[in-house]
Amino acid sequence: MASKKSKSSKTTGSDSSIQDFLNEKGVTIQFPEICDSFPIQEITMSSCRVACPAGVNIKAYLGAITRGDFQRALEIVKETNPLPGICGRVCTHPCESECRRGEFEDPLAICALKRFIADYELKNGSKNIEPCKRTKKENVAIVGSGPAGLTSANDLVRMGYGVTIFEELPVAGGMLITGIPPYRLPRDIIQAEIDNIVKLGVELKTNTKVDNIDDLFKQGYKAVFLAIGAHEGLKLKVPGEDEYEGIVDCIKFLRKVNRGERDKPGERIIVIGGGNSAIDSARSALRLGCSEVYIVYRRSRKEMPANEDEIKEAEAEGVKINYLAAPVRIIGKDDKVTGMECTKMKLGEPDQSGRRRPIPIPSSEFVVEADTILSAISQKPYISCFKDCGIKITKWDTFEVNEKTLMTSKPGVFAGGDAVTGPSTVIDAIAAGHRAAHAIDRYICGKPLEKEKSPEIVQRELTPDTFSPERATRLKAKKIPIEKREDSFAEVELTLNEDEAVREAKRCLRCGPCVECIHCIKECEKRMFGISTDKGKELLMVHGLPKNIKLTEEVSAMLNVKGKVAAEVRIEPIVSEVSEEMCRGCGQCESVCNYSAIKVEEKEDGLRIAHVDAAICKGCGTCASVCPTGASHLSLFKSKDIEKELEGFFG
Amino acid sequence: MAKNFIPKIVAFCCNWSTAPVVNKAVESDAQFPPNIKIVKLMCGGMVTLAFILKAFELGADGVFVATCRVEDCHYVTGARRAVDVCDNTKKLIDMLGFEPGRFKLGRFSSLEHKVFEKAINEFIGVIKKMGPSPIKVQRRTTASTSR
Ligand SMILES: Cc1cc2nc3c(=O)[nH]c(=O)nc-3n(C[C@H](O)[C@H](O)[C@H](O)COP(=O)(O)OP(=O)(O)OC[C@H]3O[C@@H](n4cnc5c(N)ncnc54)[C@H](O)[C@@H]3O)c2cc1C
Ligand code: SF4
Ligand code: SF4
Repeated sequence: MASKKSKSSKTTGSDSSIQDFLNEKGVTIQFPEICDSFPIQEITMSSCRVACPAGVNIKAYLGAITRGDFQRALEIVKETNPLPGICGRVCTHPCESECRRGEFEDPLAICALKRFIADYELKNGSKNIEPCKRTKKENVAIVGSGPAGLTSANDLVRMGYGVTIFEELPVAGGMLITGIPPYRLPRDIIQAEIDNIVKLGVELKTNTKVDNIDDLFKQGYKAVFLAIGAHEGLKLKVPGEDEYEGIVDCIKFLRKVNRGERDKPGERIIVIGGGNSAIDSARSALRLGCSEVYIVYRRSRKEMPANEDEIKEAEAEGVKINYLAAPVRIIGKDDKVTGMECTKMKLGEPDQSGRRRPIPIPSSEFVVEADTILSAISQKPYISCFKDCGIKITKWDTFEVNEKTLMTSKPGVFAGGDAVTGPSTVIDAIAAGHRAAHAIDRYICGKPLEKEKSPEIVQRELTPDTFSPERATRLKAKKIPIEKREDSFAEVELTLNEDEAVREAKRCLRCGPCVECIHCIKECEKRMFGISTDKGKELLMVHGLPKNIKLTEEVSAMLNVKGKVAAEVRIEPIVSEVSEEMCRGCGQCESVCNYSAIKVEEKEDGLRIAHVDAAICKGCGTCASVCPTGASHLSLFKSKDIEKELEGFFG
Repeated sequence: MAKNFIPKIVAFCCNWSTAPVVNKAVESDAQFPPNIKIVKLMCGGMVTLAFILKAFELGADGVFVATCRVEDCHYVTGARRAVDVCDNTKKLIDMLGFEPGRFKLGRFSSLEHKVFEKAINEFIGVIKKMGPSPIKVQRRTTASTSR
């Protein structure tokens, strides 16, 4: 590391000390007079990409869509996400929450666009997929064929390893196929994307349960990835739970439904829980013809972990949701469930998860009648068979792993996805799959495991004509009408058509390694600064900068590492400056500025002077380069600095 | 001409596409030619005749300008401007009786560190053949490049 640092400082002229601080976790910046500190970040990626656990290069593929190059868009997505059709339907899309356009109007429909390009491939026939070349003699065993297992298989086979996936069930796909119902995720989509991975040369062994890891090593596998998901429903822990018939675990229920069984579980159904599994169970029950479906959830709607859209759809379809209610006791007669006693709840202080803790309100009990109760509170992995293999297991019955490398306490055995985190999301499982694949590669090659693969440099895929400075409303994907959804497990949401996709993708502001003053959004605030120490300058982004920090002047601040002051730095805005005494008002700068940030204005005494609007200026310096008198210059990367750098080299 | 002449090269790079490319080239290749001075600019469009001449004046044997592809420019027109500036510079150098081959413009996308490496090595090869710059370095750092 040290050698690299000296090398790059030699060649780039700026010391990378700040970068090194940043590479450690928890670097923040603190301004005088303001107590809060702000995280700082190297500007390498657009915020949507930073938010995506798998680091999909969103900006680049949206750019490809605007040009109508759907094939290229798909290639870009597949670099980091081998399951675009699946994610395009069920992803929780954290990218959309971070989309810059969201600060202005609705964010980009990133998820729907991903779905569009994945479906485009299906519709138009995918290119022939050739098996990957086997370049390494080692074999890797992957246990579980959910998104985590599939992703790591995809990565490892591309790296040239022999890969075998072991799946206990007769079908591959994990929760995608046993949990998520087909009206949200059609089976042919899952099958097509799994086939694409298998075609790369992955061996898929279904109906094969793994319960002894040492056997795998004996069979010659050099590393094992445990991606077994979390399929065992937790107990409700209320009286009556084990007494009556009619209490069903939602995972078992959904598994049956997804196998194609269409028996009604009962007439009046209560679903307990607030996650996707609760909503999916409720909507499936309606489709099976149950006359009334209630969801009982102990927090309020805001805290509900299920996708917002899913909650809306469930309500529209007729699911009734009781918020702030929790089960107290199951009531029954003649061994059969007849209802459930609930208590009303209120929200207290936030707990570890950051959500407010629900507290029962005394004597607020009420009874909901039902003949079937579907429990969807949470799940844990079926881990018992791995308990004797010398792998450490946490008190939540998940695998204990090194957070960065995903290696368990047993060398060569890695674990990830729901089996480590507990019930989470598809995209988190995909991210874990990538991480495991890289760690396994390093493990097999005998390299140190710790070093994370650094994100590759942002691809510039966009052209100037993709700017869309006007307001443009987000396109909503069409849905099949509610009347048509009864008794049907056909997909509810439809794919955008080509015109819609191009139109939506054009809304992208192509944020990224740029100043945050996206010129089309006047309200938007710049958050990018040059941060300099005595040794050098770097461009960095400060998140959530308060308004009272002026964008136009230099401020000193403290750089904190893990809460401790590490260095004093100066923060300079990168904007153009015009020295009034040198400006001749020729207007050259005005004609080259792309953002109309610089204007020649007449002052009271009749002098014409260029004036820079710091809020709009992106600091590119194009104006500085055309200024014939040298009046216009940049406050960072100044001409003087550049000369000094040159002199330093030759002097 | 000295056989073991190592040319001094100055490379102006834009901050967005090419600076990362250069860093990557330097990091990934231990053999990356050592005597290259990389100067980061916010935009390729910021490179000026003055900077280029300054570099020669200070003793550079060759100057390389690396910008984004024209259509990829972060500032939309910056890379196009760099092309104009470089064309003019070439003409001027030629008029001054200085080999125009000592100056080169290259355009790269942010993933092309291999291409960059190749281009810069080729450039060094050309300069090596030309030999050291004919400009006698005068140590007068007070002279400014004021435009
Ligand atoms: C009803 C429901 C709806 C959901 N909706 C969404 C959603 O809309 N969006 C979203 O992002 N996420 C959603 N999720 C969560 C998401 O499906 C999971 O987070 C994700 O599938 C986890 O992936 P995984 O690879 O870790 O495990 P899984 O997908 O659970 O796969 C694990 C696989 O391992 C197999 N296995 C287990 N033990 C063994 C063994 N010993 N030997 C061999 N094979 C074994 C299992 O059979 C299974 O196929 C939902 C989950 C459920 C239950
Ligand atoms: S506008 Fe485009 S690049 Fe910017 S955050 Fe949204 S999707 Fe990403
Ligand atoms: S630096 Fe100059 S050209 Fe670039 S945006 Fe600012 S005023 Fe305009």
